[in-house]
Amino acid sequence: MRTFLSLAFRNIFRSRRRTMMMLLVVAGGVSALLLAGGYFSYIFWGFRETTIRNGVGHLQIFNARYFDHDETRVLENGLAGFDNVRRIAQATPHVVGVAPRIEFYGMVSNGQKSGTYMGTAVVPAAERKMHFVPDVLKGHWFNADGGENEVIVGAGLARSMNVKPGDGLTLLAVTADGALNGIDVDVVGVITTHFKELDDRLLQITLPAAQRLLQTDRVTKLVVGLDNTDNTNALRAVLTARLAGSEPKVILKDWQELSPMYKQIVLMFGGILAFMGVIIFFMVVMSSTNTMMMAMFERTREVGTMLAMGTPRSWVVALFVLEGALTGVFGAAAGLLAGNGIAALLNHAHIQLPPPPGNSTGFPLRILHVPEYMVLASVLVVLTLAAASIPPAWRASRLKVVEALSHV
Amino acid sequence: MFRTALPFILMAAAATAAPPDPDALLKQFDSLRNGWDSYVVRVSIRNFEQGKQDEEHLYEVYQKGTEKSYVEFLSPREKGQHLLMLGDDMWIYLPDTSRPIRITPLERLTGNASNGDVARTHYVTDYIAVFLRTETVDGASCHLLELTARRKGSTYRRILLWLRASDSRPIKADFFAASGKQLKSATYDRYQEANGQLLLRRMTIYDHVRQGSHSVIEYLQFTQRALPDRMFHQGRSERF
Amino acid sequence: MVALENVSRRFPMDHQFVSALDDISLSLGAGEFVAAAGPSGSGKSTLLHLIGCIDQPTSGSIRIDDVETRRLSPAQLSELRRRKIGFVFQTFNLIPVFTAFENVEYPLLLQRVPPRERRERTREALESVGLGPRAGHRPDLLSGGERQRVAVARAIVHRPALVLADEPTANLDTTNATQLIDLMRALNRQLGVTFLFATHDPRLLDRADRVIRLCDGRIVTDGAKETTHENVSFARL
Repeated sequence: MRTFLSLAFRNIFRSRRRTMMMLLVVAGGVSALLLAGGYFSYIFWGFRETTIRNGVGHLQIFNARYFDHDETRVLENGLAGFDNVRRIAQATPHVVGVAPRIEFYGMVSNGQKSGTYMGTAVVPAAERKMHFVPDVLKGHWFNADGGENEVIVGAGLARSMNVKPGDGLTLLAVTADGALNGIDVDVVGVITTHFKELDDRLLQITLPAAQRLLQTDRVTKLVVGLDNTDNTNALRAVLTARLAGSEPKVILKDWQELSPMYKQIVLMFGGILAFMGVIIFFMVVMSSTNTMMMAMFERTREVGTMLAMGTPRSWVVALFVLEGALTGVFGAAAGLLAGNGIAALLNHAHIQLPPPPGNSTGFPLRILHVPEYMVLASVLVVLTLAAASIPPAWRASRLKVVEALSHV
Repeated sequence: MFRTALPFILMAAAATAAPPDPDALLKQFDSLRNGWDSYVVRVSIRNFEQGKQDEEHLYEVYQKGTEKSYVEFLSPREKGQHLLMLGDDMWIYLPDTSRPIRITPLERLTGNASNGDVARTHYVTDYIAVFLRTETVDGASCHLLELTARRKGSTYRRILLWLRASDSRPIKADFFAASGKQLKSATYDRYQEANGQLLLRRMTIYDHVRQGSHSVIEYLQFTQRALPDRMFHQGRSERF
Repeated sequence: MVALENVSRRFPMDHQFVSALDDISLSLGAGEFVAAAGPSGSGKSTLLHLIGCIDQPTSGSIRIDDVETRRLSPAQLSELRRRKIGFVFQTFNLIPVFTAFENVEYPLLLQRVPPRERRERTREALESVGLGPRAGHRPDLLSGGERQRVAVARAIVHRPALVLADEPTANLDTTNATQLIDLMRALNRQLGVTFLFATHDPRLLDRADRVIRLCDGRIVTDGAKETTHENVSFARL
């Protein structure tokens, strides 16, 4: 009832300094969780968008049999007659663009030296529409009518082949029916994906050039870009339904399935956050139980009086637990304030972080405000303090009245 | 009595104990595919996968000495491609391209035949030969030679070669990669004569990694011919 | 109303037992104004604790309103205290974070009296101890005398059958002590509540209708108050 709540509330603020200390610990714990959680969320977001923007797109459409077995010949499981599919997908709401792609590999030569490449053939206009243009270091990316003889080279590959825009290369590949074929191409741009492993092998040519090299009109897949990543699941269902009746038979995959690393990263960081939560839980419990036990001892005579007057022992327990929980609530509130405040300050400071593993450029520090974490941290802390108050509460209820009354 | 017989016994022992000269044996082996210093040979290669044969691949191989060879691809789908070997380097030329692609002798030409199996057949310059022992293979007594690569351009790192003791003809060979792993084996099946020269007519290469895969190489026509140096140059201008 | 029969209370101490009370028998009637007197260690506090059901006798029986207290569970004893007993302590023992009003209200809260009735009765109780206007203050803003009056109001607000006061005037000056004694007498008369004090304050002993003298855990005398004070020890502990 209200009186008890009021009593608990007033009891909390009996010793200002002690309460402040406890609130500090609790608020500190909540802030730490919010800052860490917000930072991790930002990393997830960044990795997600980078993955999508680096060409994975939101959804990809493949030949229905693509994943049944590995190809022995290039484009054996490719998508033939894809124009129909492209039209249907393009006409669907929330779809920004549909880009055909061919993935292939082979050897590249600059005349003196050979290397291997991982190639992607693109339709420049379609890629541009979805902002899938990679970061250009030298030269420029394909123009809207990107020529058949143009090649874009990854930074690492450009270095090992010793080429810059204007230089020429010869690409060698095995065609769709197993013969060796080659084409000459001119470098128009050098790009970076911010992933060293990709930059060392990557090159891009236009779709017509690849079809000439590989002697086929098939494509590996269609990449679909949406207006918002949050629409991915819904659109996947819509597109699957719309494409179900038509030829060729296709299968859809979303960016998460195509990027197992994303899921692994989320799991890993999620584990770290949970671990942090456990540690904070213990720290808060350790520091709180002791403090609350001390506070309880100071009220021994008072509790004795209450018991003498006929207060049920369960009410005594409830009172102390309520006090613990309330402290948790205040601490959580303070923590939410502090955590969000510090996050806002840090975001404003525009701190630059070093490149993550595998990347080649740094990125700005940002901490997201994630409502789920705020709720989680608050609940955790309130429960923690309620739990921590149980030992003193139990002790208080077990007091012998006569001894308690004569306590100093 | 024993004392007078001793010299004969010793002589007999010495006669049977004399090991064969590996270099001489290897030189003789080389001559089965390189009958002259400068020559042209038409080569046919058929690849078998689980018994099913693909289309026949035809090549014209121009060989000058041990350091220069030039291979023209004759099959309809490969027309216009060329392969050039100079010393330790090898390139492939594709039609409609302006630059050659550098390749290695171990890389596949077709089926189980590596580039080197066709373009680099002088083992004496590429390998150091050591006589290991004599053993019986398919009922015939054979000398076993171990060949170890001595140049960076050598096709294989190590080869075991069995040559028939009676006439020094090759019976079979095992080919190994740098890691020691066996890649292939070969049998030398048929011989022919041209201009008084004993030459190899047919050999079969078996994939040691994948079962049921082999390639048959047939040397259809050997012709001795003087070849100009300009045929073996790196650029793309006319060779003939 | 209260009946003790052969009640003893022994405490273990250093492999021995100390008898705080030894074979006590007495009875209290409704509306009595009784003092338990004796030097410190005589057992008067223990007597109050036992009657107040916050301690259990080692042997003997205590009956309150014909209920044998030894038969009751802790929860039942708690209920008994809630309804039938009020306490006044030497050290006032008010809840510091409650106002005077809220302190007095507390026993009614324990009995789940509805809010309006609660407020009415609390106000009444405070008026009856003369603290109407000061009701909104916390104990730390009240004088010693005022605090004890709040305690008394708290002790009677729920109309208990019995009020037990352990040295209620020990921490008060003469003026306040006198006022308090008069107050308690008035309440005793008005409400018909039985008052039992433990005290060695002669002022209080003087006003008592009956004095039970204890010494070393035994009743020495039990009867109408004496007019002489020579036997009363002034030892204040």
